[in-house]
Amino acid sequence: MLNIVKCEFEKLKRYSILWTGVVGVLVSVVYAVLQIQTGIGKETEGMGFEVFNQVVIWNNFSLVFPSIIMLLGGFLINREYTDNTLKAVLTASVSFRKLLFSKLITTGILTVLFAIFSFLCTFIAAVLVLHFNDITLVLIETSFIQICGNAFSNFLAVAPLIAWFSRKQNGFWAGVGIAFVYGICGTFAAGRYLADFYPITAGFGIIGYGGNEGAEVFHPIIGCAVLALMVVLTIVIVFFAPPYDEAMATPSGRNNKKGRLINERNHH
Amino acid sequence: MLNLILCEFAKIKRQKFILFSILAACLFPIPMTVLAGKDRMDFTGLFNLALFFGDFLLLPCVLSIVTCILFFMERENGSLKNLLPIPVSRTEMAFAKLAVILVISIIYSVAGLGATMIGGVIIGSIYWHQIPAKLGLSVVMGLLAFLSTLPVLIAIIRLNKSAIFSILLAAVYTLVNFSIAYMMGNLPPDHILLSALPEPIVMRWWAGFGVERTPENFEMIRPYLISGAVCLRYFLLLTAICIPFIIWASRPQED
Repeated sequence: MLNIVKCEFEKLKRYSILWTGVVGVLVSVVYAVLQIQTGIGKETEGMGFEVFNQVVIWNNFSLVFPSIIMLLGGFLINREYTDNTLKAVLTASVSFRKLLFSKLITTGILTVLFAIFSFLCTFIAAVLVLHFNDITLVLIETSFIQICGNAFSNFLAVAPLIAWFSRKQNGFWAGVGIAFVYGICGTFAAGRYLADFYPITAGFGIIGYGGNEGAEVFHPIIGCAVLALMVVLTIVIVFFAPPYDEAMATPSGRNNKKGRLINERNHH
Repeated sequence: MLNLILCEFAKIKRQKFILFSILAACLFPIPMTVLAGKDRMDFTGLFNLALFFGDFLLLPCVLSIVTCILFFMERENGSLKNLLPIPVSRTEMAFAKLAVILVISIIYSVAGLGATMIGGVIIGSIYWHQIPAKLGLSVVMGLLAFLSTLPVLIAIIRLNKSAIFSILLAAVYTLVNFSIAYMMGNLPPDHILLSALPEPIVMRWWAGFGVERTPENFEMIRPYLISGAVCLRYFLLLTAICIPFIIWASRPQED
């Protein structure tokens, strides 16, 4: 499995898709800076690095990470269909399930890398743009853990969508749209004491989002259970992934009469 | 021109565009219905929420995907060479394709209303007498969303890059617009972004009549509001600026 994941990173070198993650992370941080700057002088006067960190996490889960993770994961798998390389991979005794798992692991690692980039952007913006003077080592450490933890929990929440929508060629585009709405709806869930039960925001209790106030609202045990359920769901979806022939079949080939005849002829 | 538009519709028969836009329009009303049911919101509240997120945030992204498919179709199918001998200019073809995108935008918006109405029936709070007005508003919002997205659609056509790049471009443009419209109250009323970007303009017009407010809240929002005439003038100007750019974008490019 480790070798397959290494291969995935080799393939990634040629893809410019990673720029979508970079742009997404930058948009999230820039928007947070704008929110902080326009908020100062109003009811949020006196906010510091801690609040800025929370705003970045909020933007990350609601606007950026779910759709970016789905796009990355879906794209990685879809390239095997569009480049016709799936048959070559399968003849190298790598099953479709194993391939899907390796793609999911790669997407998870990429998510953490983007989260680290998000943390760096947050820190740089806090120092150079917002000029916060309350940045301590403890706050930096907390910010790092929270941003990375939130991103990884977002990945776990989106993983079933990646596994499901990657069963067909170009199916991931629908998944990107659904992941986008899935992320936005997290803002409503979090505002109504449903954060622990909603997969996108289930990690809040685990990462300690919201400090002492958050500790009273979020329950890490429920969050852990929900994310564990997402992992189980992903494993089940990957386990029941269609065989190679079915995955490669085009919709017209499967549904229309001519396509069925061709399939039957090939089968015989 | 009408023949060209009909031709474009004939081409997209197999692409399931209409179904795609209707399904996309249902994405927000479904969770919003759950939210409205939980918060005991009335139909107007549900409609406003679904319209705000659906038309301001998701529709521009949907339109960018549709633009990519429509404008890159000939290139990918290799049918551009067959169209070139026909005495139809590239500009006319571009306008025909944009007309199709406008129709899809309106269909999306109306489908969003349909999905919201089903949501309203589910939560047991639907005002049937308001439906004609909301239908009219949905059509206008579909039109305004299309015009708001026009600058980025022109960039997508001109840059002629991959679908992922085009959607990313549209997503960044939409997020900037949506963010400014969303936090309108945090900016001073004379802020340049509130008068320059299309979505905040729509928001400033719509906020005047679309949302029920307390007198205090209305006083707070009043400096931001603009009349329908101002909104109309803005979009006429935007369209007038965009037309030469559409002609420029649709010109053949050297490879």
